[in-house]
Formats: sequence, structure tokens, C-alpha cells
Amino acid sequence: MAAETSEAGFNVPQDLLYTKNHEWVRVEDGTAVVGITDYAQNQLGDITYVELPEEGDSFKREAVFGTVDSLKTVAELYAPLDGEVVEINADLPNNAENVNEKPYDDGWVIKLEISNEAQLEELFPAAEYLKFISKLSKKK
Amino acid sequence: MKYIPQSNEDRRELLNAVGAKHIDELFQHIPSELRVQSNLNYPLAQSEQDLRKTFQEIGALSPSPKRSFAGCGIYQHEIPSVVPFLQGRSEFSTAYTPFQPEISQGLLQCIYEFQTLACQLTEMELSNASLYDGATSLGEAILMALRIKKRSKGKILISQAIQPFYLQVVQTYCKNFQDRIQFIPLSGDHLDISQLKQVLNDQVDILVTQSPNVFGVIENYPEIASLIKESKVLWLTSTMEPLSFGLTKGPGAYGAHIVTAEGQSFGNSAYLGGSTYGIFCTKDEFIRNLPGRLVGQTLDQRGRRSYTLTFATREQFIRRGRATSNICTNNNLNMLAGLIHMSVLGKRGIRELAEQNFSKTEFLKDELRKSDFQVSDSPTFNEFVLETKQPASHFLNASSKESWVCGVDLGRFKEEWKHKLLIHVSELHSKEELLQLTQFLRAQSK
Amino acid sequence: MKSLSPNERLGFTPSFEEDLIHERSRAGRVGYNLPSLDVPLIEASQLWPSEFCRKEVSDFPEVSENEIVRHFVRLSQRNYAIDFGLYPLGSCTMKYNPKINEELAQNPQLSRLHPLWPEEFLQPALKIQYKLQNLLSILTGLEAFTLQPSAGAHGEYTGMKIIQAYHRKKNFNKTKVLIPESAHGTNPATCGMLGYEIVSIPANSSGIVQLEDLEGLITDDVAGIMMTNPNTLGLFEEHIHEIAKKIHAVDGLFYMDGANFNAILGITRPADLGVDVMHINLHKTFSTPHGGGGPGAGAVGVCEKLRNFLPSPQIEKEGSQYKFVYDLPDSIGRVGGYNGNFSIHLRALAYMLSIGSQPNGHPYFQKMAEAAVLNANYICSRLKAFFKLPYEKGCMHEVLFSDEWQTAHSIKTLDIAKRLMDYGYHPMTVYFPLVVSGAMLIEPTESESKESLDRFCEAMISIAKECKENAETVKSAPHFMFRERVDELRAQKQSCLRWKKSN
Repeated sequence: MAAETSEAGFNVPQDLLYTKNHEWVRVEDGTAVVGITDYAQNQLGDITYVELPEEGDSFKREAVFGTVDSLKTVAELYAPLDGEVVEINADLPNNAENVNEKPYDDGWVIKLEISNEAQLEELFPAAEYLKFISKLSKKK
Repeated sequence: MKYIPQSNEDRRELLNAVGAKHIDELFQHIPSELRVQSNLNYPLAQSEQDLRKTFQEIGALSPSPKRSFAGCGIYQHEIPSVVPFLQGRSEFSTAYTPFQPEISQGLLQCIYEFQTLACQLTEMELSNASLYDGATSLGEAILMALRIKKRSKGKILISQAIQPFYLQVVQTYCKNFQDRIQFIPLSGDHLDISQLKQVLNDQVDILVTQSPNVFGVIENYPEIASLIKESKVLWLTSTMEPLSFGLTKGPGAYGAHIVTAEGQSFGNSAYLGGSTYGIFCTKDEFIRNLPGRLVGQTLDQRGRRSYTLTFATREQFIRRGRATSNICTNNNLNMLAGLIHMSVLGKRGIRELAEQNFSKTEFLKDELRKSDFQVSDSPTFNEFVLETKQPASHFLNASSKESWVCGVDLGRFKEEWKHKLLIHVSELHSKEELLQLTQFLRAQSK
Repeated sequence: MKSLSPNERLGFTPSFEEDLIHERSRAGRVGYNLPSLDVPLIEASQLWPSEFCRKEVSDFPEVSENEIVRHFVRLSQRNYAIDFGLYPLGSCTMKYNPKINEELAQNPQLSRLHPLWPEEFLQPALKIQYKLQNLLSILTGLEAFTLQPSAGAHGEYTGMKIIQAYHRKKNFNKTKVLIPESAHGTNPATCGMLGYEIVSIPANSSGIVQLEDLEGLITDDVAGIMMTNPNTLGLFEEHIHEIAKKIHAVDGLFYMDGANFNAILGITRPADLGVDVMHINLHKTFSTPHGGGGPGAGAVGVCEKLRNFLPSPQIEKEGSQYKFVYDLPDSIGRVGGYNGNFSIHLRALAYMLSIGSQPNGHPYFQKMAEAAVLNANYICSRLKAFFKLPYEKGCMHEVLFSDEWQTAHSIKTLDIAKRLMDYGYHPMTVYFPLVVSGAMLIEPTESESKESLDRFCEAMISIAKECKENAETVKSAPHFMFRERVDELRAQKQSCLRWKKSN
């Protein structure tokens, strides 16, 4: 799928949905694959660790489901939708650099079973997320 | 005032520079009704001469015991002359935490060396830079084990033979998990292993033991090891006398998962039990749950070996509410004393010192047995319990009258222990003193 | 040949590469001597089961005494210390550690004291702790104290546990604690340990908590609030008294983090501000040595209604005798092994006795606070043309700058901190508090003379100029330290946390 890039050079794939907390969502058969965006990984710097929830954990939208550690910061991960965790990327904590290098592929974090389809409407499509991060980059 | 290099002239210049006429202007945003208006009846300032006198008078409030056989968590060992000499260097004592590695390589390397010694002593893979003391280390160990076992709500088995102050600290730390705690009773002066066998099942998450225990007895770790080997139980150990590791295997050799110890015996005077430092070791795989500071090796920009604080995101200043602990210190100066003492002893010294402690203790036990005293056959290191016909307090009162201390009355912890006198023997007690103690105990038993 | 450091005041002494103590080890060397054994040698293997016995402590070092001394003396020189120079660490109060305190601490009558000796032998210790608690009471207005916590964070744990016990006794369901965003990490970490839900009070442009920020936050399930005053931005919380009233209205309790007490000693008393519980860092305000990372000591003071919840044992005076009191049914129990860090208490007492009242004039402790605040304001006035002040309000004992003006040259706070080392200073506190991006927090304390402050300011001003004219040098600093910039990422990714023989 063609990707759109912002002026600052961040990768924002067209086929994904986004949150204001810089998570992305790919919908696959009623499951939401979740990760963090290229913009987010760039802000965090070298990522050293990812703290994952466990399979079977349920989260409400906006609840913290894990963290991403860089050397000097810990960023919380917020559930983009209500749902139950059906799969976690168990390899990720020991290969945290995948979040930096392949945020949309090997850097995926969890898969959530979507319990409320309507919430998908409230996520940003790529173009809107692009605008959002462009504004943030300008704010400096 | 000698600690404030600000004369009236200096003050005028500084006030001028900040554009204030009077110092009160710098505090003007504090409502006047909340300002202190007097000197609060605070005592007059003392000069150095006054202080020396004051402290001399305070020191004289009690006689200083000529001899002591009190242990039970704080032990008497000779501190080598190099320890206070090196520990007292102000480059160590007036330094701050080594957060900026380039300007703190000395401190960081000391911690790295200490971490290594702690691992070697306990036969564990990973050590932190130390915690406050042995008791809080045990509390932190349980909290760490609970983090590792995060979903589980299984039981926490705790040995009844752990020193009661340690248990009190554990109770405080575990207040919110009281219902999961189950105590394993004693069989005589050690943990009842058959009872342990009975209660060990897959509903148990954590096992907590101490060796040598409150009676000075060395617990049967090989047997406990075989019991938990196939299970998922996390085994946490505590030791009040780390010198015992000079003769016993480290708990790591038996498969313990978290090993804690009181570090005081190495390098630190008693000082009423504080400050000391806590040794805290675990397995590499648990690093993310480890509390406390950690120093790691790395390179600088020019490829030279360097040291730095690492895995910092576990700690409070970054992880804040989700931190492994709120701990913000590593009792560095006490740890440093321990490091220096252990370096001085070295491989041969730690064994020789442990052997001296052991031999003198066994000598005393034999002398007491010869005098028909009841001394258990259980294995001990440098402290043991004397079962007494009269309460132990009787002997303590008698020795106090002569200005010395013959041991610790375990009755202070539990009514049912009031006939147990806990006696600690170290390299500092001469054969003469041991014979005198025997004579005294004999005389007082009549 | 190295060129001279930028301010030409940093000379060079020989500095040796120093191996690890284990690498200095050679089999057969000894650093100890013990008197010969005067009883028969008994081997553990004679009496213990063989599975208990250890052959040796493998790979423990074997080094002679003089090599040990040389090793640690060399390592000691690779540090920065208060006795070396100004230590501008905000929030740490790096003041001078008086040497009379050290002398008094060496007294063997005090160092030998064993916590489990009969009380008749412990009177010196009990009196020292009793007196120390008394003096802390006078300065804070809080009626009762405990000295059992081993550090500030340990004190926070103790204080919040007391609050928890108070509400539990009343059967209240208090689950939340309010904490300003600017708080030190130990505050939320402590609440996390106790199972409280943290309600964050967002920062605002004034830098202090405004009453409207609390709108809707003070509900019945709020156990209390944790505040630092002056706060971590160095500003006095002007509304603290009204905030305390609001908290008390829901029977909540006010916890004060006493880390910045140095700014208000003798100026205002926490109890008068409405504080119910407070911890004091004896190693900050009361001059006990920082030790390279500890030991500290965290005294905790409480108002009268919380007295019974203090850790056990407490100290009481009966006639001329002091004793431990254990029978305290509402006590939160024991938080530390014995009686707190007595070796630190006696140093703090010596200090507290030396900063007392003068027969004519203000007490020394008040002069300390005034000098500390004046010194920080002086640094503020000299540096504010060169570094951005996020809060225009006057600072108290510490001043907060940000790197906003320097980021235009792509220099960040970290680079400035590293370059400061080339001028012969330990960096200031960086990236704390988190509410200001690129925070630099500077606390000179009252221990610095005007010349010392001037030299420090000149170094900072020079760096500000370098950011514009010589950015590369700043970005790659330090250049004159024993080590250049250390690869912290590598330390984690290729972690090596101890020496091993095969290394």
C-alpha cells in the first residue's frame, strides 16, 4: 500500500488508522493489530524495552496497556479501542529495536479483539493523523 | 557563621545585584501571618568546643559494656584500618549519586566491583548496588516476587524461624497481601521441612526462608532445594550474617531466585543497627523487576572501558508511579566499606575469618556441654541458643550489673522463647573470655 | 598534549587507568592478617553435612593491603565532591558537610552501640534520637517524629502508610492521592507501592498550584495530597494554606515532601501551613554526607492526631531515663530493621545544635535559609539573560532554567551539562522536573561564597556563548574528563553487570 509522508519525513501508511497518542491500528477480521507510529518512535529515541500485557487482559479505550522504554523515558501505551488482548508480540521485549526500525511490521505490539466496532469511526484516518503530526512538528 | 561564607558586605552586594533592599523582599510572597516571628525557643548555637562537651556528656549516660555476646542481626567483627581510612575520603563521602558517568567513574567502578563480590558470595547471577539493610531488602524481595508472579494470587509461605524484626518489616511491606501469607512452623530450632512438604503445592507462589535463622541454626537448604525444584515457586532467602557464606554454599547454588542479606558484618560498625546496607541478588532473567540501582560496563566515545548507571527506566525518577520501588538510594558509603572489607579479606581471608568464628563458637558450645548445659546439635555458624532453666533475662540482668552483655534474650520477641539465650561469638572473643562466659553462666545457673 | 580547558582553571593531575579489583588479584597475595586462633581449629565439614559446605568463594580477589589502598585512592580521585567544588544539583541541597560531625561520629562509645543491648546501655543513643526529634519538632511545628526510615523515599513510604492507617481505622474508603505533575518521582512511586490511585494535578503557567486546578478533584475518596514546598520549580506554593483547608474538609491529610526544607527553615513552619505529615531528608537540609548515593535518613513528623500511627518503637522520657515504647496498638509497625540510621542521626544532631539561636540576632538556621535563597536569586539574576526562565516569578533556594534558547542551535540541556564538566563543575540537575522541557535546576545552597557563584555563572555564560559560536564543541563534550561521553545505550543492549573470570 502506498504510504504518505509528512513534511518532516515520517512514514504514515494509508491503510492504517491512528490515535492522538500515536498508536496505529490495522483491522484484520475483527481484530485490531496495534503498534506505535514512526513519529512516536522517532520522538522516543532508541527503544530498549517494551512492557506487554498478557493474553486475556481486557482494556477500555484510553486505558494504559503497557509501556515503551527508551534510555531515559518511559512512554505509556493507551488502548485505541475497548477489547481483549488475543495475542502479544512476545519477541518484542528482547528485540525492542524493531519498534524503531519496523514500527508497522515486526514492531507490532498487541492484537485486540474489537468489542465495539463503532469506536473505529473515532480513530484518525492517515490524512488526519498526518495533519496532526505536522502541526506538532511546527509547534517547536 | 562559619558554614555560611556570606559577610554583611557580601549580603549587601548580592542584594544589590538582585535588586532588593532587604532580604525580606525575597520572601514577600509568603503571607505574613504564616511567617515565623521568633527564634522558636531553639537552643543557643553550640561551638565545636561546646559540641564535644555535649557529646561527651551524652556518651557518659551509660556505661560502655566491656564485652558483648549480642548478635541477632548485628555482629561484631574487627574492621581493618584501611576501611575507615578509605571510606572517610571526602571524594567518596561528600559526592552525590553518580548520575553523570563521565565525572563519576570512581564511584561507578566501586559499585560494579561490589555487584561482582555480592554475586560471588551468594553464587547468584545479578546483584544491585545495595539497598538500605537486610530487613527492608527482604521486604523488597517479596514485592519483587509479587511483580514477577503478577497475575497469580497464590500463597506466600514464610518461615517462622526468621528474626522477628525482619518479620515485622515484611508484615509492614505486605500489609496489603496479608491474606496470602502462611507461616511455616518450626520443628525445634529449624524450619519444619515435613510441614513445608505438606503445604507446598501449585497454589504456592513464594517461599521465604532465613539461614542462619533467628536461633543461629543453618537451615537444610539442600532439602528445600529438592522440594521446590520441579515447582514454579519463587524461593527468597535472607541472611543476617553474610560471613557465613565463607563456609556455606551461597543460596544460588541451591536454586534460590532472590537472595538478600544484611551487609553490616562487612565493613560497618554497629551504630545501633544503622546505617548499614542490604545485599540483593537475583537471576539475570528477572532484571526488569529488580529494585535499586544497577551499574553496567560500557565504552566511551573513544572506545575506553567505562561504567554507568543502567536499566534506569525501572526506577522512580523515570517510571514514577509504575516503578519497581520508590527507592532512591543505595547506602553507598556503607556498601563501599563492605567492598573494601571484602577486598581486604579476599578469598583466603573470608574463609579464615569464617573458620575462626566457627571454631570459637564450637569451642564455647563444647565447654557449655561439658558443664551440662543444653546446647542443640543443629548446625550453627557464629551464634547459637543456650536453653536456660532460669529465664534468659536473669543472666542478662546479672551481666548488666557487671557492665557487660552475655547475649540476647530471645524472650524479648516471644514469650515462649524466654528461656533462650542467643550467644554470638566472633574472632574478637578470646579463649579467656569464652571460658569466663562459661564460668559466669554456670555460676548464675545455681 | 591536551590543550587547557576552556576557562583555563582546570589543571591536570596524573590520572591512571585503574583495573577492577578482581583484575589486580594474584593468587596467594593477602591483604589481611588475623591473630592466630587460640582455640582448636574445627572444620565445618567435620560437623555439617557435606552439601552445606563450600570449597571456597570462587574468584574473590586476592590483593595486598597497599594495592587495595592505592586502588581505592585512585578511584576516589575520579569523582566530584562538595569538598572539591560547587555542586549545583537542584533538589539535592549539596551543602558543606561539617567535619566536627565526622569527629563526633567516630566516638566508639556511640559506634559500638548494639540495638539489642539492654536499654541501660543505650541511653546515649536514645537521648540523641530524642533530642533530634525535639529539635525537628521545633522547626516544623509537628508534634511527633520517627527516625526509623532510612532515607527520604523510605520516609515518604512511612508517611503515606500512616495516612493509609488513619483512614483505615476510621473505615473510610480513601483510594486516591493528589500529586502535582511537577512532583519528584518518589511521590507517585510511593503511592504505587501502597496501591493508591494517583490523581495528577496538571502544571499551569504560574508554576504553583492554583485553587481552581483542584476544582472537582477533591472528592470524598481522596486520602490526601502530596506537595513539595517550595516546589520542584523552586517556587513557594502560595496557596498552600487554603489547599490544606480544602483537603482537611474531606478528612484528607496533607503530606509535605520536605526535600526543599532548606529554603524555609525559620521562615515558615510546615505545621502552620496546614501540613499533617512531612518527611525531612537529614542528608539534605541537615548536612549529613551524601556518600556517593547514600546512606540518607528520612525523619518523618506528624501532627498530634497521627502520633499513634508512627512506627514502633517510639522513644519516651521517664524522669532522666529514656526508653523504647513498643506497646502501640495503632502503629503501622516496623519499617526498618532497627532504629533508623543512627550514625546519620548523631551527625544531624551535632549540626542542629550548631545552627541554633544567637544571643543577639537571628538564629543561624534562619540565616541559612536566607543565604540559600539569596544565592539562588543571584544566579538567577546573572544567568537569565542567557538561559530561558520558564517562570518569571522569583525563585527560592533553587532556580529553574530551560534549554529553549539553545535548541535553536540544536544544543540540548544534556550537552550543556556535559560541557559544564569541562569547566570543572559537576552538572546541575537535568531533565527534572519533567513539566519543563529541557529543565536545568540549580541549587547553590548557602555554602557558596560570592566568588564561587560568580565563577560558576561565568562558566555558564561562556557555555551559552559557545552554543552560538562553537556548537560542535558543546555537542561532543566533555573533552577534559577522565572519560568522554559514555555509551549508555550499549550498557543496556550489551549488558555486562559484573565481572566474570572469562571476561
